[in-house]
Amino acid sequence: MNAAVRRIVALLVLSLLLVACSEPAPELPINTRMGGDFSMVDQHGQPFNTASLDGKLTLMFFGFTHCPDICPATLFHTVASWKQLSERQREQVQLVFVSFDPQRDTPEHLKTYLAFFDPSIIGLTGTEKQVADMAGGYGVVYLQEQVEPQQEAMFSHSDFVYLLDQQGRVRKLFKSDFDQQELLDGIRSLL
Amino acid sequence: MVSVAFYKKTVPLLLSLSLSVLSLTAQAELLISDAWVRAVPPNSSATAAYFTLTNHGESDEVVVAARTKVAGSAEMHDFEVRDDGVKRMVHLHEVIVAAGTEVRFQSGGKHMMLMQLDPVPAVGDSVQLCLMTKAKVDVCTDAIVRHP
Repeated sequence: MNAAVRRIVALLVLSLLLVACSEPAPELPINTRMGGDFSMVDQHGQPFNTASLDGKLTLMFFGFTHCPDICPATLFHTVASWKQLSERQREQVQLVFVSFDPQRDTPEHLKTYLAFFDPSIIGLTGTEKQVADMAGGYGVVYLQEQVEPQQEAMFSHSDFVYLLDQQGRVRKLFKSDFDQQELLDGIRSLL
Repeated sequence: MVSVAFYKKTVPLLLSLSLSVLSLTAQAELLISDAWVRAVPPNSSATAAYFTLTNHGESDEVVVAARTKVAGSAEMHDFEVRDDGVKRMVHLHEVIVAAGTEVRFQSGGKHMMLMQLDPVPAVGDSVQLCLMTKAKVDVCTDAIVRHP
């Protein structure tokens, strides 16, 4: 095989590889078992319900602000990943933190807490029932732990990050220590 | 007078140095490295510290308590994952660092939990963390407050 033929073969292989790489990512399935109607209050004291999610993609995480490790770690990781998107893409993706500790996580408390990570994060709280209903809809488990009297209440909880589409439908769940590229690929596949 | 002044300054210094060396010798078996404290919002009540504990000695070391001045209470914790995926924090009453090995305290695993923060340390602050062994030896280090 002379040099010219080798070059042509190499170009053909490269072209095939490029075509393979440009294949669109498979469409994320719609999770019909999770979600549903909810009615909460945001960190500004304004009502926030299912319809409020419409129009943008949503990255949603359930936690509590007195959480020492997983919640702040996941919030930081999620915001850092979201900042990897272009400005135009970021405008189409909203970040939502839902507290399952409404007694301590008042709207005012959430406002200060979330601003530390990014002021654009939407913080949701509500009555115990509102929180339980919403968490139940997304299959979130949270259990208050028995602690010493002088200690503050702690929760055991599931720790998924939910990717919702523009209609508020759950499209994918990520572990709290998710791979950043996998999350970005999931987001971009829905934009 | 010069001589007296010299002794007044030098003797305490030498004594202090000797005590420091003795203290280091007692603690050198167990060392804390790569310590940092997670930066959290100013209205947080809790955060966590992470580090590597290395036992350079020839016998196992048992850490039984933790403390830091910025927290009303500090404990060693770990997570256990239930069958349904729920993560539950577990209070560790002791952590054994076998001779010649290391134990890592890291996010999502073993960590030093700092509760009742007062004040809440800010990014860039240096926080002293101390661990106590079963033999009642304090092992301390300075940890920087930062984001991951």
